[in-house]
Amino acid sequence: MKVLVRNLTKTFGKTKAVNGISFSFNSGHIFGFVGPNGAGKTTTMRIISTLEEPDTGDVYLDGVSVREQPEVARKLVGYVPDSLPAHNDITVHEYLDFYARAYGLKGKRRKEAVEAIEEFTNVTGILNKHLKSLSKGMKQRVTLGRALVHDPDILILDEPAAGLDPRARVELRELLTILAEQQKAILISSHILTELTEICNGVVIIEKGEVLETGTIDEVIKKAAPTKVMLIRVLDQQQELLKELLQTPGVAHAKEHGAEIAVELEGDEEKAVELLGQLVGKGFKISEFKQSKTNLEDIFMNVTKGGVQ
Amino acid sequence: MDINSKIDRWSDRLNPIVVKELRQTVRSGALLTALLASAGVVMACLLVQLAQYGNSVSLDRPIGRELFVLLVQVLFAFCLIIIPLNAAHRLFRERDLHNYDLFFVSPLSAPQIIRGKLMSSGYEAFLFFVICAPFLFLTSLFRGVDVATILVCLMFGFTLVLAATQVAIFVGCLNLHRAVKSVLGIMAMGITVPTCIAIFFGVSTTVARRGAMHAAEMIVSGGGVALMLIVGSVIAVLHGLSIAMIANVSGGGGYVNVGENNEWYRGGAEF
Repeated sequence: MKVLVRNLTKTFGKTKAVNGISFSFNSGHIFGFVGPNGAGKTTTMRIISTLEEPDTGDVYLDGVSVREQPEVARKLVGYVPDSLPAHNDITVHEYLDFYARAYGLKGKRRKEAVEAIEEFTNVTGILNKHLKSLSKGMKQRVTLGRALVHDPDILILDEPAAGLDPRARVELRELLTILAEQQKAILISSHILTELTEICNGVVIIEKGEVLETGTIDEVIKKAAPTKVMLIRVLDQQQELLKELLQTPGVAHAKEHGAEIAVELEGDEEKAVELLGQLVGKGFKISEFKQSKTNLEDIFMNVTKGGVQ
Repeated sequence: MDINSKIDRWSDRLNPIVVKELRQTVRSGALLTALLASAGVVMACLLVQLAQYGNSVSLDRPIGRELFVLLVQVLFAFCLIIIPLNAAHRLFRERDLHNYDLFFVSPLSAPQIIRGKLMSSGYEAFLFFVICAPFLFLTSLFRGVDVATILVCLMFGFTLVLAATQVAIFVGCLNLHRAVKSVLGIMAMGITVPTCIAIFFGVSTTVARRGAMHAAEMIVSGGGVALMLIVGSVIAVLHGLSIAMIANVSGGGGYVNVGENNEWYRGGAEF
């Protein structure tokens, strides 16, 4: 299953919510969709889920156009909105059963699908509870179950971790990892970028309705930070080491960073190994030599300007 | 196969919206209270009227007809107020954008949604009629009314309840601001309910007085057919318009109007 988003635009009144967005992701991938508030994430996700029609452009779900065949596309997508459902007087089981019926599941097949989803999302203990009486974490589980009840190939999750406690977040992460292993294509938006880094294979960063960066996490990191930053800790002679590093070829920049020295290094892993060898050879007592990891948060802060429309 | 499996298989044939709405209605307790209240009021009316007759009633007096007209009109007034209001209230409670989003993200079509809303109200009306039916049919044991007359009146009343409910659903689907819709809803119900009550009172009194055979002749011969056609047309036209309100015909056939300019789902029906 390949999801291809091509040149989407969507305008609400005078506001251009989405302005020529293009990206793609595949089965088994968890793709992070990040951007400041008002960047156009929700609109894009609603277009993919057939809830909004784009002004121009299209989304192809394994070749199925969401503009031309929205009814077919709906069967392929499971959508989790950023706010939770507020139906009154309906239990968890009845809610899931309703959506199974809405997706055309009948008889034994419907019963089995609902039971399997209840077990997968671990809501079997609250089946007879009213939807309204559930905690946010539990509602999120039920919503995820609702999106999965027809076994879609694509899962679109809009801020699913918002407002969840740490345990619920960890559990959600585990569920998403399992779903990716089941070869579902997952697009997830979140403001908790550290969590996205842990579970996502790829990322799309958007701002003001336009894509700023897209690709696998490694590609985006490499593109945003072409130099390596190494952190070196020595037992003594920190100042001498700093002077030495500033004179070493291949070192773009070096500065003290607390008890460590941060060295911006041009080149690949071999260059780092070579530098370590040189420093040890010159008698520096190096107690720690590690690469500073550039995470999604750093890249996000670098590439976005924080503007809203 | 046990009874639950049979019911489950039968429910597979129903519109999913009907199953959901009926479950919600039963669970809310409001319908159960209204059902018991209607049965209680109908029974109370029957007992009070019988007590008033006492032993002094003339043998020639068609007390069966008198009792039936009173009871069926009480039942109808209950249905005509509670069922359209309940349908409108449900639309109002589901006004939240995401509840409707979720309807539309599934393959449920706009006609299925509107049909489901109307059908679930039909089932509710049927429950009212069933719970009060023993009292109504009891009147056929007295002079002046027969079973066929009772059935004709109930069928006509049921159709009018559906018409009033369709008016409520239509107002709920209008693409207007909530405040405007509230005023329109009050105005629409203010016209529809008294009109339906007047029509039903007139028809039920006439049918009960003249008997089922005459009523059947009347229905076949013209006046009844014309009346049923008018009521049926009102239901059909408003049903179609309600579907059109939520289905975007220009958007590739399957898109549903949930854009920023369409507030029907945000505003819901307010009464």
